[in-house]
Amino acid sequence: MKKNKLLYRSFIIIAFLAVNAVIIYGISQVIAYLNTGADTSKMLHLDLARTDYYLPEVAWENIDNPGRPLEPANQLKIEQDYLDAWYVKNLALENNNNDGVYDHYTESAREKVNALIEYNAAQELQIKSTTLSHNISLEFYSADGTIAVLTDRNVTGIEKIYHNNQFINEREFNEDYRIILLLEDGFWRVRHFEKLAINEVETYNHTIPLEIEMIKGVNYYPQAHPWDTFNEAVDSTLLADDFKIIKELNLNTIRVFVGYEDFGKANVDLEKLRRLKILLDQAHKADLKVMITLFDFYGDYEMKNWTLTNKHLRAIVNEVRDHPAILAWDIKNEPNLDFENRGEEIVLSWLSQTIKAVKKIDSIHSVTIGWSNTKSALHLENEVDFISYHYYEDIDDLSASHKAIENQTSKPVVLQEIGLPSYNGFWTLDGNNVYDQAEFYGKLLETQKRDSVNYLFWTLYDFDHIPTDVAGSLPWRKNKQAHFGILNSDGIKPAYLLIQKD
Amino acid sequence: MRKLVSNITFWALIVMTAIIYSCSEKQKIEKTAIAADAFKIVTPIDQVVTKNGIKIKFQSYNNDDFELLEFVVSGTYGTTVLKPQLHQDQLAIHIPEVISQHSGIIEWKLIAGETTLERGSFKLLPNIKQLKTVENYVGPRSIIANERDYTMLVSIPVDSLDNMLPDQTVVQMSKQFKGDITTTTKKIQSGFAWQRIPAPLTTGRLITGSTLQQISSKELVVDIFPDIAVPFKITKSSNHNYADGNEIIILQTDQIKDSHGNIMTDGTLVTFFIKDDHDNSWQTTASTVNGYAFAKALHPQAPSTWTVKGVINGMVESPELNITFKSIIDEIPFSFSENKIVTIGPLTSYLGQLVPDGIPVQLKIDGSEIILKTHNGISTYTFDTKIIEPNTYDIQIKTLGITTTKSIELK
Repeated sequence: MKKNKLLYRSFIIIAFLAVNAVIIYGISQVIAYLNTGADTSKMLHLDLARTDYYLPEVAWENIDNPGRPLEPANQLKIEQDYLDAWYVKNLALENNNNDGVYDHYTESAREKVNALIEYNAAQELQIKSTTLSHNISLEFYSADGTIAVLTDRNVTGIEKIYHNNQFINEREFNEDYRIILLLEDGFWRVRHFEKLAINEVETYNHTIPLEIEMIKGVNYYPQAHPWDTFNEAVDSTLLADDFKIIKELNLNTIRVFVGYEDFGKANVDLEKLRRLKILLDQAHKADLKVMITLFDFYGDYEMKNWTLTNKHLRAIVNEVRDHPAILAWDIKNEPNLDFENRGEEIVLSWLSQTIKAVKKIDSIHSVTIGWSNTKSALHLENEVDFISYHYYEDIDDLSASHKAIENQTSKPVVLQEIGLPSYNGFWTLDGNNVYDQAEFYGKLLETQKRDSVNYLFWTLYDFDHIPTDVAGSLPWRKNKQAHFGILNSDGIKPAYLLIQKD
Repeated sequence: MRKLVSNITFWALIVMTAIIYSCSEKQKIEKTAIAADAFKIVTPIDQVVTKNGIKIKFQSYNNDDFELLEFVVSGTYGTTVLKPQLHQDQLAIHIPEVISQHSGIIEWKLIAGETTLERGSFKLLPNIKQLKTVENYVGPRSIIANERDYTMLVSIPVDSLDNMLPDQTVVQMSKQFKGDITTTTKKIQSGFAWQRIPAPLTTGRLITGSTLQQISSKELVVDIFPDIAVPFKITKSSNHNYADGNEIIILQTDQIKDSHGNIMTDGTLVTFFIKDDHDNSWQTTASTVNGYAFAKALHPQAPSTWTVKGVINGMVESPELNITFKSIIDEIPFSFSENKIVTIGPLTSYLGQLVPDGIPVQLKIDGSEIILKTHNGISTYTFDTKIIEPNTYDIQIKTLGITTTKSIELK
């Protein structure tokens, strides 16, 4: 009885507290709601900062015109509003709604865009499209600055047509347009649009040979900063020391990873670029070639963001393409792992266009994609210059798997990642120790020599801290990932000696 | 035994499913594999835009597989996908008006699944026989009557389906100013024709318009405003030149014009900067009406000389004008009574009339200062010997710009 009383009492007290908490929460929500709304500082549109959403490559070929000189501020405004007109039209045709069309097309032009949207919506067609480059000439700019006539040549881009979300067809284009823009309500709105010509789409069929006879290398991260090679703490001395170790193992290549977000996405961080150049300089000094893996930790392959990834790519490739240490561009690490979540077709078309974007600005260095397994290795075989795959299966089957790939392509095949963690701790049932790892490397090197396999092993060091976004937070994954090295903080592991001997 | 039967049934089922599945797969593959020459369309040629759509017939086709065909067509504003329709034993593709009424290059592709059977392009030309409007734009809408300034007339004529007209189409561009009509013939280039219109040298309204064949634009008007003013003179007018603190002086400009004789726009602000010989300065403003500006100022209370300058800010200023004001009295009438009352006045003006009430009179005695105001021309002050000790004092009196010193004996 006494117990019950206590129970009731505590129940009543807890219920009382809970009711109070709910009431206080409710009141605070009401107050918060009443405090939102019109903010006087927003009345003047002063704080509307542009975010990066559509940044195709734009070149102004000519701004001389008989009307009036074009001031830089107006040039920028015309460019932004004109690109926005493309952007909203692309989105409108993808989603079949006319959001934003009002702002970027005059009344008569709006009707034309809306009519097409309605027609396509009725046919259940979705058209995903993006432009990638524009070459604008200003034909005329009126004295009062309210009319601009542009010719936009070689508008390149891609269009994918879906019916009921089923892919139908793809169209790459390279077209010339004439555009008349009017300044209305502070927006440059499209009054006229006319497709003037269709040009040949540029293709890059020439395969660039690997400039190294036999790749023997390592996937490189500094010991203290795994997955963070371009951390400010990684200075040239540290890199020089590490590269000396690699060179002394008779290796000739390293593979490094450039993170998409780490390097500032569309607006590439110059400081990171500087550190990339320091790494290349040190590699060159140590007589090592560098394979740069781009777009690490990039996971959104949607067409509407292609202009952003291309801008990122241009900033990096243009900056370092002439560096003597560069061996090849690896577009993306293990993109086939995103097939399931993002859609195989979407991932492959991003890869395909990104390869073209690299080849457009770098005609010397070969391009590859680091597929995570042998099954995926031959995707886009036509477009890459050499095939790269990763092998984490049974070492005894390596030779056969490698040959199987080689038989299906005339291009060089690179075993871009291979390794075994020497981790036999609490979390594993049948883990491997350092001797198992040495045995593994023994077999690897034997196969490599016999079959002349280009290879890069994973990796130089055991790492003390694995970032959570690499292997997740589960300890058995993290610990495995931490022990792939042939060196650890105590010194060398047996596998090291094997490679050194080789 | 039963187990065996059920086992066999189970496996048979699986095998059959597999067979059916593989058959359907096979069928699908067969269907998409259409021979490249099985279908051939009558290749569309360059033609004029139309709102009725474009019908494309087939040269050769077969009735079985045409449902697999798709016609991808891409015009100026975007792309769409069409299906061939079999109508009265004739297979045809109908390009809808959303594509066919906009001029520009049309790219097309006949596909069956992933195979492209045919591809090509043709041009849709604007319909120069059916015009809708001539859109005119003129700007700047207000210009200055001088040799440098100009406005610009831009004509964008369109056909009945709102397409830009081809290069070399002739547009008549006209302007009218004070009865003079000028018409210029211009050719369209890149979809538009344009003309620079130099400013006339007189103010007024310039009216523009364009015509193309029988189609005319709206009327657009440009206002011509006068140029920068040339230096002007200022004069004063006043009833008299006495410093009586009562009269109002009028400062005025002559008619302010620009170098071409155009009178300044009404409301042009003229500022009169006034400075006197005691280093005081102030200003008054007036806006022009028909080129004249009038400003008013009160005469000073003490004789002084003013230097006045009229200025139109940022444009022009007048030469200086000097104005001298004379004193209205020669000496200050003064009396002292009952050993404590000081009376100043009556102060009289230039006709002998009393000065206005409120003229300040300053007394200085023993280092302290007392300000009095006149009332009916007179101001008085009674000294209180409780505050100021009885004695003989020199008292300084200052009014209307005159100073005098008297000796008084307080008891």
